[in-house]
Amino acid sequence: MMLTAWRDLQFRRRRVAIAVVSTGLVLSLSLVMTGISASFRNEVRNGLRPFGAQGWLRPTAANGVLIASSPFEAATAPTAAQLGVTRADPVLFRNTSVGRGEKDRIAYFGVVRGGLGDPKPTKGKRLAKDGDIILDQKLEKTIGDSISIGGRTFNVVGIVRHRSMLAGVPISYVSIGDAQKLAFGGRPLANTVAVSETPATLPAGWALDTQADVETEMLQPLLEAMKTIDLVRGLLLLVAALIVGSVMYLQSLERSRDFAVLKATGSSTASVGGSLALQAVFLTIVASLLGIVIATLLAPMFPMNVEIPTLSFAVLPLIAIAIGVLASITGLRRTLKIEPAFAFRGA
Amino acid sequence: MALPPIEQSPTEHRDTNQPIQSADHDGLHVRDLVVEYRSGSQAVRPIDGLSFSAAPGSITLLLGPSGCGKTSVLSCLGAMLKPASGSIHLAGVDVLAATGKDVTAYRRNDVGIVFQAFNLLPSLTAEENVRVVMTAAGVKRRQAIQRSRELLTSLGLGERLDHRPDDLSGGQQQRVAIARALALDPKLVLADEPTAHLDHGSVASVLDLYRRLADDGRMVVVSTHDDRMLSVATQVIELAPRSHATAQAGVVSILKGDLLFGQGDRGELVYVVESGTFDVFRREPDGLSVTVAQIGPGDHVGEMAPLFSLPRSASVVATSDATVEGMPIEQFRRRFDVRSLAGR
Repeated sequence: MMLTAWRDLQFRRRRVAIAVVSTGLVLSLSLVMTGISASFRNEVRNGLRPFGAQGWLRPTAANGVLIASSPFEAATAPTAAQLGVTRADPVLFRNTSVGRGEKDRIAYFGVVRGGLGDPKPTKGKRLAKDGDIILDQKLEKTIGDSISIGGRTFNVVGIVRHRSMLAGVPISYVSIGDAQKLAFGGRPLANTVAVSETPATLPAGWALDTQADVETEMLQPLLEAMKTIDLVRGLLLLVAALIVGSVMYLQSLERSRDFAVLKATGSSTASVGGSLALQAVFLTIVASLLGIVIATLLAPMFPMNVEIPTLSFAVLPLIAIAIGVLASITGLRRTLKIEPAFAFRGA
Repeated sequence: MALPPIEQSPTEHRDTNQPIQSADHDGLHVRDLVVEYRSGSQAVRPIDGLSFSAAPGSITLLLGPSGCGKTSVLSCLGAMLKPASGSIHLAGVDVLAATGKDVTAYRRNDVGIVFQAFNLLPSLTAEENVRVVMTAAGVKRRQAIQRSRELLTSLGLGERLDHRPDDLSGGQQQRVAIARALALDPKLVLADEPTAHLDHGSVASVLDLYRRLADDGRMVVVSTHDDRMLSVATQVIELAPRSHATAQAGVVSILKGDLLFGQGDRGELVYVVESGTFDVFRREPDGLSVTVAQIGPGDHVGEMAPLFSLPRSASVVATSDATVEGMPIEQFRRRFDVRSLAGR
């Protein structure tokens, strides 16, 4: 079984190569789609985790703490002492742009210097005074550059990596005072209060969102895009199945006489069918490995940060095998039905 | 394998359907074999009551033109086609009673087949084509390689072991096919038109080869329409259908109770009834006769046999004094402007 399956693949190596490359490419796109979908969640986590917050306070009437928030007077918010926590720092979040270009979108956090959310940059220094800004590297600025947001000019003092929100919008950090000037003309408003621990009780009129709640809030605008991506991913797997299925059906057609001869000379029907299934499994495993390589090479070329989950790499060959065998059922059924007496027909 | 030197055996010609009595139980015994299949609404019976026996060391030729059922007989002997009735015993074993895995085991261990077009797997080398049969039988790889090499070397292909069928001549492919058939040392070797794909020069050596196969104690059954094979045959089974006395073109008078043609006859004419009536009846595999039609003036009968070079699938007997006009198929077409002959 192994011998005939392997030799036939070698014999038809051009067709096999085309099928492997095509299927591999399709599977790689499926992996990239998985990576894009996963990146939406990862970027929210990566953006929020550095705050070190256990919860996010909002007025009870507000629907969220960042993009769905209702800004409130920062001075009216409960203090750390009132909440019984180590820190409770107001945070302001805005999604805006610095121009009309494709790469001009920017989101910024206004944070209390030295408080929750005050970022530690991978390059440069922390926020020290008003007018300082820390940017994600995606904005392609270097320390010492300046950037104009909403008519105000900021000095770049630090760079962070992989900080984005809302499908690839790079994040920057300024002092909350600067953010209030940018967003509200200097009115001392905030979107939320980040707290370092979960308060035992909350003052009346205030609610606490968990990290998961905030992730859900930030993903809300992307849900339709994510569903679309999942649909495309499903379609790509279907295309992969069709490629493998077509090739296997073609194999079963072209090898009808071979299969009849094998049956006539004493190979069991299961063994003959197994030979075809083995080819499908081989083809899909090689295609999935190629898909992993292509996806790894393709991912950095996408404008947003595409992080393909390790689990997806591990699961892809298994999915591919299932696809291969399922797609080969038509060919397999045909193979099983071939009568050994077919071998007697003339050439 | 050491194939012994070639020795000529006396050739025996036997008439179709005359069973050969064999006292031993080691041989091949075919009794009352009937092969029938349907072609549209017609039941076609290429083999009707064939009986013969073959002893170990014999070469049996199934001789006849295309379509006479030679390959059907080989298919039955190889347990690839279930006959409508009859029995096949090989070395005392009822071949037709086998089912499932027993059939596979029979094909694998007891029968070796050399197909007309050799049917080697194009992706495998000569050695692998022989080995694959042994692998299916569970022979260990090393043993299988050794045996396939020995077999091919003994057949003069020691230098061509690693060549694919495309790189081999027709004669060499035939030898690989023979080696594959012998791989598991079967009792019975079936060969379908072994000289069909060979040039004149190759035929003599192939005849020698089949003679040597039989001399090793195997039973060899060969289907062929090539008279050159007669020189190596131990017995010849002629499968050409019988010709009936009334098979003459033109108007023929038939007396009540006379046969116009019989089931299994060679058929070259279509008959149009001018007067009188006829019963058309078939003898079923279980021996019962079934009337399938009654025909009268203006009706025609017997077009399938000349159209497809098949034996008559039914008998036609006059139920009153009658006259019919027999004509070749082309004349029938012209006369009746028949484009499709899917009827009786």
